[in-house]
Amino acid sequence: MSAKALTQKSTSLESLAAEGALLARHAGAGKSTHVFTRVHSGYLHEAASKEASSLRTATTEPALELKLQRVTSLAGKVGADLKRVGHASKAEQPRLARELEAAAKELK
Amino acid sequence: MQAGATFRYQLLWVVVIGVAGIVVYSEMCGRVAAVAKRPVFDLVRERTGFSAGLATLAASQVVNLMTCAAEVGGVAICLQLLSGLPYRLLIPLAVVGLAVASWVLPFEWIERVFGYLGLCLLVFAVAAIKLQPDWGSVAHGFVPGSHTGGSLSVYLYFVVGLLGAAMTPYEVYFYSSGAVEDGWGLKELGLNKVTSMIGYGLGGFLSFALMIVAGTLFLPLGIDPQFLGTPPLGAEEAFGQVGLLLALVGILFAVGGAAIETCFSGAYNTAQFFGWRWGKRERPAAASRFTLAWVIIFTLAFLVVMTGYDPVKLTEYSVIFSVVALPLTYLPILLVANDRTYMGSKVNGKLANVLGVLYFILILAIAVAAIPLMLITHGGQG
Repeated sequence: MSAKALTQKSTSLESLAAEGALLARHAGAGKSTHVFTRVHSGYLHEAASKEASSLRTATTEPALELKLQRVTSLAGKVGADLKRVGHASKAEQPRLARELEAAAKELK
Repeated sequence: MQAGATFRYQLLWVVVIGVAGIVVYSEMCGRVAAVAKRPVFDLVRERTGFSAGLATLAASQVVNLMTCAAEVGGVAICLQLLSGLPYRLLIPLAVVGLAVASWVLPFEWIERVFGYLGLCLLVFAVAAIKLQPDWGSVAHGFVPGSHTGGSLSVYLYFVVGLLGAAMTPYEVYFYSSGAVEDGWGLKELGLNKVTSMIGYGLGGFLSFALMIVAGTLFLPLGIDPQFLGTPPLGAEEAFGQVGLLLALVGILFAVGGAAIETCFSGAYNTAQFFGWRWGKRERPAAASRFTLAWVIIFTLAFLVVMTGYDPVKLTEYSVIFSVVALPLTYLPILLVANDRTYMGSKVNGKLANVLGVLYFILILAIAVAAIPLMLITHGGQG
């Protein structure tokens, strides 16, 4: 995987994490419906899982190995958090929102 | 929305140019329909001959089918976001619902139901205000100039995409066929001007709102809207669940109405090209081949969506491919609107001609640039 492709993956995951954080924040504040939260987070989770799968099988030049590992690890975490957003209680959502925001910042 | 989330408000000027372009050409189409009593595709074949007409028909049908499929998929996703039912179950329900509405409802009622409920999208305009954008930057976005936030090629790709979306061919095909169906005559020339300005102006206004919401909310958060469920988050941020539901209902009916228009547009083109009897006002048995054409288009759109291809991606591609077909659509309109044998004293005036020619040059330029830009930017991803 080239440096450009890795950056694109990272940007894409950052976007998914940020969107998931916004959705979780809305769900926690009672601004969203359960159905919308579940379905939309499902789409975000599916996209993050696809990115995570392609990252897990990717290889790159030695100089980028560490970055690839970090992005792959964050991809797994973002995917798992997004899955939880769809089924979490209102009380759990703010914590998930914070975790996803932190992941988005790390991916920046 | 993607334009706003990438370049904030810097592409608002493109929407103004695109809307003005579709108003100029729709006014010509409506005038041709009112004076010559003939719709666009009828004239395309007559002016360009069988071979070029057939090429135009093929290109427009491919774009129509892609657009219709994307819209059917969009309706299914919207229903899923509202109901929580499985997407694959909702695709046939969406197609059947749209086909039944097309079959049962008279033309006026299709316009009223889908048009009025589509107005729920105005929630984005109110959300854009409530999100308190920097109005100075918004105003600056109406002036073309240098850009920040992305590469030049991506910027140009969005310019082409926004112009293509504003001037998509099915709109003029549907508009002119509708004018013939409504029996427009010389008395309706004033109505034609008002309808084209208000109708497309409203569409442009909603585009401004969506771009402002994206630039104010999504860009600072680093969100690149890739899903149909992303825009409603803007209304949700401003108005909570009420905003969310208004946004979803608005998208559902706006996209559903567009799916019917696209489907009918394809049937109109086919029937007019082959000289079949056509019209929504005709009994289905009396215009059987026209009726069969729109049923087939819905069926093909259903099959395309059932492959699982992402409707949002399909929309992006259909917009870019429609740009390539734009000159084939708009040149015959410009020629006929200037032809006294069809138009008598109602040919284009100086202003309509200057604008028509300028827009045609612009259309040629973006038609040439569309595919290379899509390839260079990997579909706007940079």
